[in-house]
Amino acid sequence: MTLGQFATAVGAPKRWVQNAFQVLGLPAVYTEPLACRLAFARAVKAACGMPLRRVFPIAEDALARWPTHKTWELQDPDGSVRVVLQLERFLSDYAVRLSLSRTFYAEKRRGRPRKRTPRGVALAKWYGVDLTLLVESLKRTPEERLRQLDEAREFFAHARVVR
Amino acid sequence: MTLFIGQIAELVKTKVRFVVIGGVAAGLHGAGRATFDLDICYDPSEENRERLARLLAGWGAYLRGVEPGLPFTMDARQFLITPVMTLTTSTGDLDVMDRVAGVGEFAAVLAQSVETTVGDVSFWILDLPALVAAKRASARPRDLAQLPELEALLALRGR
Repeated sequence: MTLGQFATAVGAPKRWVQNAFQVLGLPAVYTEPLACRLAFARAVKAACGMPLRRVFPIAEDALARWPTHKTWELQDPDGSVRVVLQLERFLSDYAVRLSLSRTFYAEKRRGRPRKRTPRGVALAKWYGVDLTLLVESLKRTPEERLRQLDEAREFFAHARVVR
Repeated sequence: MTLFIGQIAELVKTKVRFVVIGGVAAGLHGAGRATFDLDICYDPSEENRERLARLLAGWGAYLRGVEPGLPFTMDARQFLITPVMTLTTSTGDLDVMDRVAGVGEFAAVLAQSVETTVGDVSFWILDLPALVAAKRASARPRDLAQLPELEALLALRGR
């Protein structure tokens, strides 16, 4: 996992993740189980202000309770405050972010854009886009274009199954 | 797997308020690049989230790219906590989001959309300048790779 993917899975900005690693004294090795633990610690910290240093060590045990336990509870020593975390809900939220980090997230291109990059048709020619195809496509109706997309989707779906 | 038009028709029939964005919108504007998932930006109002969640639950929506069996609850609350989701459904892959980078939240997305009719189904698609702005803002290599084609379409249409 890259830092960006890890931060997506945790649901935090990259800077927050880096600070958390610093606070917890962790080496910069980004793994999915660690993302889940850190996401858990972040959720508890956000809900009740418990410091990361205190909640992170107990995150692993708390997460190991799933699926036999649906909730995780933490009570303060005098019994006046009790925190209840819905494990199923937490894990559902985490699974969505994990899915995003694996399928949607991509590193942004770094650096300044090239100053002399052409625009419009010139840019397309520079990239080698076949403009005649675009001109032909513009003559079609939206219905015909959507049908073409559907045909391509169907074709590649079958190609994937065969492979 | 259902055709894109089947997915869109079902969304319209269920009265989900949405705008088609991404590859399908680009294709409807004339881009030739194949796409495998339908991307939509949805109205995050509570009743719309309810309608969308019910429809997606009916389609057996699950998270794309993760192991089967992880806890996942498809309901309106999930859209509130994680408004962007990449899903696989019985009708095909679907990406849902409540805003578009470079364009804004749903209201801004809708304001920069055009109504399209395919068969007897009318729906909104993000207009070409906004699609270009979105691809540019996301700055992901795969989005930037589509920019030359979209910019050329914009220029050709302007002639």
